[in-house]
Amino acid sequence: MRVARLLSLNLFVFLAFACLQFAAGGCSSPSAVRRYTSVSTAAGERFSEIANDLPGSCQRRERYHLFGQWQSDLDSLDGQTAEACAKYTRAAPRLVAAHRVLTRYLAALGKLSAGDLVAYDKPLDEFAKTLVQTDMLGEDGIKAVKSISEVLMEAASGGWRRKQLGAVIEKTNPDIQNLTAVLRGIVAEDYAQLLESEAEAARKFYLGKIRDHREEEPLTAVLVYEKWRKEEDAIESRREAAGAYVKVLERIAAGHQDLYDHRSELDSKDVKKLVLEHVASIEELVTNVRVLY
Amino acid sequence: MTKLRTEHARELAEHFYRVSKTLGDYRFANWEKLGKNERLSIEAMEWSLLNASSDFTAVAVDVSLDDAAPVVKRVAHATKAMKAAIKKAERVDKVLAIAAAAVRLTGAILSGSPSAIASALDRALKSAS
Repeated sequence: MRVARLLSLNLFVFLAFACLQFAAGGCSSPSAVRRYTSVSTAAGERFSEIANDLPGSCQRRERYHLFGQWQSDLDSLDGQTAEACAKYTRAAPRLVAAHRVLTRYLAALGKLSAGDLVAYDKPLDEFAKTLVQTDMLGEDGIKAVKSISEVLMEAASGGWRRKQLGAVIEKTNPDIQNLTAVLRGIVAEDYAQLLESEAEAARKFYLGKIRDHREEEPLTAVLVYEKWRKEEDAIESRREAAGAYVKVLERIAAGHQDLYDHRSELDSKDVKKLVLEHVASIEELVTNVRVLY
Repeated sequence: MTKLRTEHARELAEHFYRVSKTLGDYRFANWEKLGKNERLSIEAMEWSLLNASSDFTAVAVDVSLDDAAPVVKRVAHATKAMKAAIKKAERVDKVLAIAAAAVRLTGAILSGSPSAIASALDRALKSAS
């Protein structure tokens, strides 16, 4: 009884504190811009899983290759796969950082929209300066990341507030369109191609082994076949998650384009409705990415 | 030297992935007819092509060409011809020659040398004819 009373008292204190926090943040419902930036920023967290699976997929493909070569030194398998896929291992954190520039920008839009100040992000600013032509982002992506980082730095150092919101959207829209297009290409084309290659590598490995051993060891062949099918299903799930994330990026781009097209009337009901449609779509798509990974 | 454009690199990756897959289709469809060494030779070249295809998009390829578009177009033509020739090949020698020419072509492109690319393209087309 005492425990129950204590628990309900704790719950009350928690709820009261939560209500106070909400009140401190403003009792009015969040604006459409803030919801768009909030959901888009949350969506960005899913990108790191995809970027980190670029080396992951490459390594799985390479393992099939090395497993298939019985003369290869299996003790050094991890070292060989790491070496073969080093280019993706190097690229992944840089792609995540580039995507973080996008999400930091979106978060900054949310802050400006709420009348808050934008904080200077030194590591991100320094990252933008280290980008070189050999990065998977390509020239357009590098230029976009650098320009967006500069705007973020200006917003932080200039103490920009809500009145600069329209100007920021106007200034960054071409770069946001470019960066989302580049990231979209990496997920829709490069990652998709890696998954295709992984699936083909699995076929070369498993089907070859099944053909070699199915007569002497038919039951083993059946088990290996089942394993192959499971791995194909896993690849298919990743393909679907990548497809969903491509749509997230398209929605982020379309949402920003709508904000740009209506930058002088950001508080109008029509704009709110339009932007909230993007919000609902992004929320649904992100759920799909989360479920599949 | 200029960097190969992303769209060209992706296109090349797709073409050589398709050749690797077509070789795999041939090897599995003719499994019983092929000798073990023939299967191993074809498979080795399948893996070379598959790995090279991912190199096109993962590394920025330097090419000494003002415009890579005509070369990419010729590669598309050559790989299309090679895939068709593999599908209708009656002798394994022919398939092995095509596979070797495809591997050589990927090496030439990754080297970025226009003369090596031109020579490898000629050889690729001849292998498929």
